[in-house]
Amino acid sequence: MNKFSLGLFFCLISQFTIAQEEPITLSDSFVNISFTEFVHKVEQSIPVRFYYNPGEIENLKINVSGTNIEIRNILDKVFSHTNYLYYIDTNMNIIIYKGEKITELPDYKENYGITKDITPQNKQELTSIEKKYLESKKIADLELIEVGNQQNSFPNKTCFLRGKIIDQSTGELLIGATVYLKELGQGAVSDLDGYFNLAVKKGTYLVEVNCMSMKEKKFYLKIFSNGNISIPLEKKLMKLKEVTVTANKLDNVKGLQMGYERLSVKNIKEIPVVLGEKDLLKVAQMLPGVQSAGEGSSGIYVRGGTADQNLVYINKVPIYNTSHLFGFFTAFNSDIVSNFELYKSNIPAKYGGRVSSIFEISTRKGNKKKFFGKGGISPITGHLAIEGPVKKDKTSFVLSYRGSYSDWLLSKMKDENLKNSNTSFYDLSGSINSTINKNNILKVFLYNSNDQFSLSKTDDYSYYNRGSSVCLKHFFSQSLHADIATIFSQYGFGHNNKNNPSEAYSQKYKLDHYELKTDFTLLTSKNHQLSFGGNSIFYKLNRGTIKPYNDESIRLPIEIGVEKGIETAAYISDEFTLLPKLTILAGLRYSYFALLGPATVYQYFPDSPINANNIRDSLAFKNNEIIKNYSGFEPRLALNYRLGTNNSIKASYNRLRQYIFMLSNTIAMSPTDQWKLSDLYLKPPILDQLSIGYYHDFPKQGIITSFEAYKKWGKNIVEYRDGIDFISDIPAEMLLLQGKQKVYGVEVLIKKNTGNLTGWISYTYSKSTIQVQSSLPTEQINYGKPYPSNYDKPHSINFVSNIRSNRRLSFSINVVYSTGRPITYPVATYYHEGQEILHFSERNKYRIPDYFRVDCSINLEGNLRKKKWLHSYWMLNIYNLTGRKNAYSVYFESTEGNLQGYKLSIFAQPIITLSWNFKFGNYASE
Amino acid sequence: MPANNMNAAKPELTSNKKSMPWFLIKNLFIIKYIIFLSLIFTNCIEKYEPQHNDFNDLLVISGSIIKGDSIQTVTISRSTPYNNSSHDPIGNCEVWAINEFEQEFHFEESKTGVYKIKIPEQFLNFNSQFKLRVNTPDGNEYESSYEPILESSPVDIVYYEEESFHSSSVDYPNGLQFYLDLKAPSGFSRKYRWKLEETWEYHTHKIYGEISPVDTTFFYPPKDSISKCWRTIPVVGLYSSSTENLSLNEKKKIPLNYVPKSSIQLNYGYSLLVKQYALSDVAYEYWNRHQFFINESGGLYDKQPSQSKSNIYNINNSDEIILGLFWAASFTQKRVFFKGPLGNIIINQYCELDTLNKKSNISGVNYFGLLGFKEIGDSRIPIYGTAPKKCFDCQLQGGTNIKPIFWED
Repeated sequence: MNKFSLGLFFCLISQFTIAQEEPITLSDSFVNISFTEFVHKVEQSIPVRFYYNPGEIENLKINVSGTNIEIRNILDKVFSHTNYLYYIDTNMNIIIYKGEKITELPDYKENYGITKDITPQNKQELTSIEKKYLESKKIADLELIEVGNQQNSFPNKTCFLRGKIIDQSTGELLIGATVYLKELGQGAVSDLDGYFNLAVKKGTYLVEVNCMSMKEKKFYLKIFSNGNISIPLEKKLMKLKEVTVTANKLDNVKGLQMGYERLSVKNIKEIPVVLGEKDLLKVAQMLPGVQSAGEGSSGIYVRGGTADQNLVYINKVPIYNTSHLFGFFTAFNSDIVSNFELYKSNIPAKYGGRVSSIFEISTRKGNKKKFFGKGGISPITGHLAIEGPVKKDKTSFVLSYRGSYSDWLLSKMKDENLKNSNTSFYDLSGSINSTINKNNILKVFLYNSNDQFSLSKTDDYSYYNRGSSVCLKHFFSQSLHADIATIFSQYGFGHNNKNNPSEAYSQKYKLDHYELKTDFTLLTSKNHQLSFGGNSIFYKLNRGTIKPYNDESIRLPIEIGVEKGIETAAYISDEFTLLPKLTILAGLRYSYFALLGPATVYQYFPDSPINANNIRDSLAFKNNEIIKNYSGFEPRLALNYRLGTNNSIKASYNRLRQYIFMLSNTIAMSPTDQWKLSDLYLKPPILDQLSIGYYHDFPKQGIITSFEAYKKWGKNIVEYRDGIDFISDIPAEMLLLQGKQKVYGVEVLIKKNTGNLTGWISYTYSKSTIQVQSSLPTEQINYGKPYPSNYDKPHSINFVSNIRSNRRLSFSINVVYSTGRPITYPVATYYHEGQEILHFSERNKYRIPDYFRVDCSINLEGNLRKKKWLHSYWMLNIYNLTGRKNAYSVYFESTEGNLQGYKLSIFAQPIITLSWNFKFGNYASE
Repeated sequence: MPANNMNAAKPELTSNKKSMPWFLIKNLFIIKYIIFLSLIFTNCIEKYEPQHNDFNDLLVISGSIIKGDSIQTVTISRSTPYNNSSHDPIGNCEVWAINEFEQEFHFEESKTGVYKIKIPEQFLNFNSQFKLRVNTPDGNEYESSYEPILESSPVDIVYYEEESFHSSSVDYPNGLQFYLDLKAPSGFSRKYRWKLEETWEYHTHKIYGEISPVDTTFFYPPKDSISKCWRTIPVVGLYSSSTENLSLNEKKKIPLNYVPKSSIQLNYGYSLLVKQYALSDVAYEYWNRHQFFINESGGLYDKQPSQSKSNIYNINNSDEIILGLFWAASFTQKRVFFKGPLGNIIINQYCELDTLNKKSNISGVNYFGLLGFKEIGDSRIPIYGTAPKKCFDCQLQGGTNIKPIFWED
């Protein structure tokens, strides 16, 4: 027994004395309410603070009433038939615990203000219960951070707190970190720049800050008035091995987001991929509700939507073609990607323009303290990214390059056609992030990706994305800030078709996108999180010219046409807590689109099919004259009702409108698919989505689960007529039809984020049908009956796991299953002049065989000595471990007049790749 | 030496690979996009039949009025299941062709489901129009749209190039790819279809045995007239093209059929007759669409197959789906000749003599025989040899021993 414990003894005695001398009383009635509500009420009426384990005690129902009852009497009643005990200290902190009554009290060290830091000074003195209690509370040695000016402090005043969360080793701002105020059950998530805002009453709060791959940080925050805070986080000791989807376990249940997925590039590092290339969008395809058309296809299909219904942003730059090499790779170097968010439903009001989903990719902000580089080589590509400070702690840069070097493989081929073929792609990007001063942050981003591919003497393809964004974040005050961005994006492709010398042509296509975007975020005293703003886009599409390829070609030149349009939108949304357990996000977006001249547009006879025979007249529009405009409201609403600490129900509704779409008559997105604007005849697709979900976390096991069901109704969905071709000057309205889409489905996701085994399993059931009906038989598809959309895959199961065997070695396994995609098969044959001819079924009536694949990978880190200039790791990937011959396509070919069906499989055997990745400079950077 | 001969002439059989590098498929559009992967990975093409038992039992009417053909034919049948294709003719129909002056030409059923007529030449004029009317025994009435007889321009050039050929089922390293250049005056149709007919000379199989040298004068029955034959067959396949997108009504290098080097067709001469038909829009749409479906559909970057609509409809029920086509055309023709062989003579069957010592032992029904000498030491002993008839009579392989008039020696 030392002097501390002796001192403590007296201290405790005195506490009891004080408590007994000044009994605190309460007049209220509590009828059949939960313990949490009870605590909430009591804490509001008398100056006490409860400490308890919410998960355990939640089921306790409270039925107490009376006038001027002493708190002890209430608590005695409350716990009379339970095995809970309580303890009240001098500062009126009420601690609820379970088990044996503490008779001999442990050592305490009084620390700060009203809060108690309970630090055992002599462990031998503690009983097992005390140890358990202390461990579970983990409130030892917590730091207290004071914010604001004590002089300006008024009681009950709402204070605005602006904070940033940084990686303490690199100075980099952390995206998606959660800040949670335990007592209020309220929190915030850091935005794409690493900032968050909170409005809280003056007081002291226990704050928990979490971020993927960072150590959790807890501290007491004492807030007097408005102020700023910078929260540095430490890296976790074990390096970034977990495969997690969302940043934080709190998000799943407490956040309002639904149909939302987040990935960090750190998370995907070890997921096996084909050809050894880390690839965010490929991993995204393993999330529930996200599908691809097949290996080697670039489109992503979200909840039954088409590929052109997704908007992919990288640092606010929209990317119109997200693939390299026709979909085998994603057009972003994952070395620079820091965060990836996908909205499948409950799409925030600040987003619009595509009806299915929003992919938001953010790149690294750059190390502001030290230079750092990383890169790697795989059989196909080499990649490198360098970052570092331009001005220490103020300005940083990130540069990246990735390029392919595959031609050496082609030159080794025997086949003449292949020897004469070549392919290459690269992407490069550069960004500068600068904290100009306390209230202004400037970000500049440049991006370029390029693909070219030529096959022997028959075809050359090339396509590119170029983009830039300049974003300024300005803080007007702790409660109001704005993000202002100017954005430019360009997509183009070229194609030389040399199959026939007389017909050989070259085609060029270009889309320019200019955008101005402003988003304001305002936090009000009632803790309303208001967002408002708008954007304006100017589109210029040169749908291309078809020109004779050379002198031998007599192809008629065709101008497919130029289109100009403006899309502009304004929105407002508010997130607020209506009831203690009910949070609401209500938003409204209004969008307007106008197609601008010059143009010549045909008019058709009314009630007759739109074709060349029914042209009545043509209208000529002058430059910048409005040809047609569309506009409408896009309401968004989301509710979160928290059933308990670890579970919640959410519901959301949203409407989206889309004014630009892709002309495609193929199953997968092809590099010659053209984007087109809505016009006089082609109305913008509009989609309504209703979704509900149940979310449950199991914090002890580190498991989070979600169950979501959704239904979507789309109209003006663009479908192509049978057998049409887009390389012609036939107006698009003669080639396309518009119909209704119905999608419904459920998604179940179970994730484990902690421990040596991490990963997720997801199951999706979805049904997506399209119906193109008209009173005119020629203006419908499939006789006006509904048919499955091209990307309808009802059942889909994904399993992603990572097992860490030690700090240097880990294994990953993926299992992917989905129903085969729809296909149109022959249902009858006949012979015509000796040739067997096929009669096909209605559109998409059948399915190709189901898809199944197992991949695995082994990661071996180099030794982890800290003072090494270069750290590297090897990754051995086996894609399609079972060698299953998954059908890529099924087609028919005639031999001697008789038809035979064939199944084509790509990756029909296990693909083994070894890649080597390295980091140099500051190893702590990731 | 007989033994040497045998080795040298080991039959070079046509190989039908079950799977092949997928990127070698000619005409398969996806090749152009993702060929790259094939360099590193095995891809695989397998025969695959869609697993379903659905069957649309539909009426099929196909027929044509061709200026230049003496007999016009219409066939009427029902469709058959995809995985069990056959021919299901429908007899006892009434079939008429009706021209724009409402003159009716009644077809006669020549065999079940096949209806023929000889329309006098004076009714088959350029730009005259015909439609088809069919009454089926179940009381339904069908009619087609009017189809014009368009004038076909002369065939410009037909030629061949030595090339390799790859498809899902075959992989030929070398052979002849025939091409056609189209050159039509601007007033002519821009849409064409070609029907091909091939003729080749072939000889009886080379006979091997211990009897040597084989003296043809000892053949029984005499060999002279039946050792050399010519066979003519239509080339099955659809060939169509148009000059719609071109500034002139001309097009070079339109691919026709392919004859592999490994085929016996190129041994002693090969002649290809190309008939060029000028098509209406309706007929071109039909032939070109089906040409696409049987050659190159199915890739992710291909247009998807879809139902094709016939120009024949049920008068009383517009919802009934009719398969087939009624078309009208005129044709011009041109012949191209290849004097073989392309490389070595290809032998696809091995004939070996059995030796007999009595002539009467030769069965005259299935076997023919010959007399030769067997060399034993320095002496030659006369001996009879016998082998299957087809080793002696080329007519048994489908051809005729009458030399075609167009044949170039």
